[in-house]
Amino acid sequence: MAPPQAESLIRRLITGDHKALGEFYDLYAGLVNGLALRILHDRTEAEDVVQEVFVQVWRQATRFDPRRGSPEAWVCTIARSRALDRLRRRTSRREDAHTAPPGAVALPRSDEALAVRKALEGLSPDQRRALELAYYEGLTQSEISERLREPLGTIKTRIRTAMIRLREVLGGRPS
Amino acid sequence: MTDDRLLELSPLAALGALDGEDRAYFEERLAGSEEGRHELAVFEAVAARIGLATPPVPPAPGLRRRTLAAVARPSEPRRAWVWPVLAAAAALVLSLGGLLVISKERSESRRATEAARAEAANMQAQLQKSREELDTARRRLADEKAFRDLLASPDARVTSLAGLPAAPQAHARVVWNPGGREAVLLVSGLTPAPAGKTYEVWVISKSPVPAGVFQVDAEGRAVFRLPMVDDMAHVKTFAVTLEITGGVSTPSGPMVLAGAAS
Repeated sequence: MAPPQAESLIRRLITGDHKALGEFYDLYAGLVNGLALRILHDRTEAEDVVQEVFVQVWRQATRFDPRRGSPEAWVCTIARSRALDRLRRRTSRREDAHTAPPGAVALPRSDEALAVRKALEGLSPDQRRALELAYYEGLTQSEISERLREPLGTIKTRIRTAMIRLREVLGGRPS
Repeated sequence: MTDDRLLELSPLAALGALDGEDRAYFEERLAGSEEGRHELAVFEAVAARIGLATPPVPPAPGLRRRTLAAVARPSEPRRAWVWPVLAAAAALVLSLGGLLVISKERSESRRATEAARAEAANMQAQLQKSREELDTARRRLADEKAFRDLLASPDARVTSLAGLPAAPQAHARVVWNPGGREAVLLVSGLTPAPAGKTYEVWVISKSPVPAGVFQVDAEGRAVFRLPMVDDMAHVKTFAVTLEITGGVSTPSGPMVLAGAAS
């Protein structure tokens, strides 16, 4: 579960409460930075993303919709989108996406984060690899097929099966 | 009718992984399939959580200060003035007939501000009543903030909607920004929808695209921020119909308001 104060923080952000942004930052800056590092493998660029994400949270707090997920999932979506934009602007992709980002340490995790981690660990290595290429590298199905040298149909089935499995384990939010 | 191919593509679409023919197919069919949109929303919620599994990494200590400094001037608490200003702006557009008037008629503006202040005070009193009312007001505040942002945008446009025979007293305006895909609907003179019914907004370019449902208050007024609609740049008509609660994907009830976006 997301920290119970997160949704009330978003309500305060909507009213322009500057202090709430600091509290929101304290909750999620590590998550955003970790995700941006995982996608970009560049400390400076990741921190630029952190700054962009919280500026966007401040400006677009009204767009948060609790029916679509938790505040931390919302922040993740913004962070991924920002980081992938930067990745796509680079002239060449880096091929070291498998390595752990520098400076990764164990920080306290939410129950939701632990549940997602466990659900991902429950996937087959093939499924997880294809899903991670889509999520962390922003590759399309054809690009993943080329990267892994496997038929497109196989890749599509693998990702679909992985997503359905995650949905079963985690539950889909919108009803 | 269930579109199996559309449903099979939705988990890949939620990750942004579609390309080629699959992507073209998905984008073409999605608008016409309520089931497809539901599946996409469910898988988007799943995709949104994948990133949570990434180990957090504390950012550099100085970044917090730089980030907070980038967003605002904390010496200017928005809470204090946001209600009167926004309510005044909304009242002006409704009562004085347009954006130009706002910049020209300053004395009118002052009077309207006082009226709006009184109205805001009234609203504040209502806020105390119940949590439900508070949440409604918060949503409204969010919509009015979007409205204020729109007003500040140089390419904001205003479209008037006239009341049709089903609601001759109603009128409305849509303030919208084709580039930013933002739009706020301001309604007055509309009878509150009967039980089991709701008003639904349509953005029409080639065919009507649903743009959210809303209710009016006891005075027949509403300020409603439209959800993001891709076709906003090509919109020809804005319209409002009376539909069953929850809304529908194609208009079926009586049309109460319509206006051409010139």
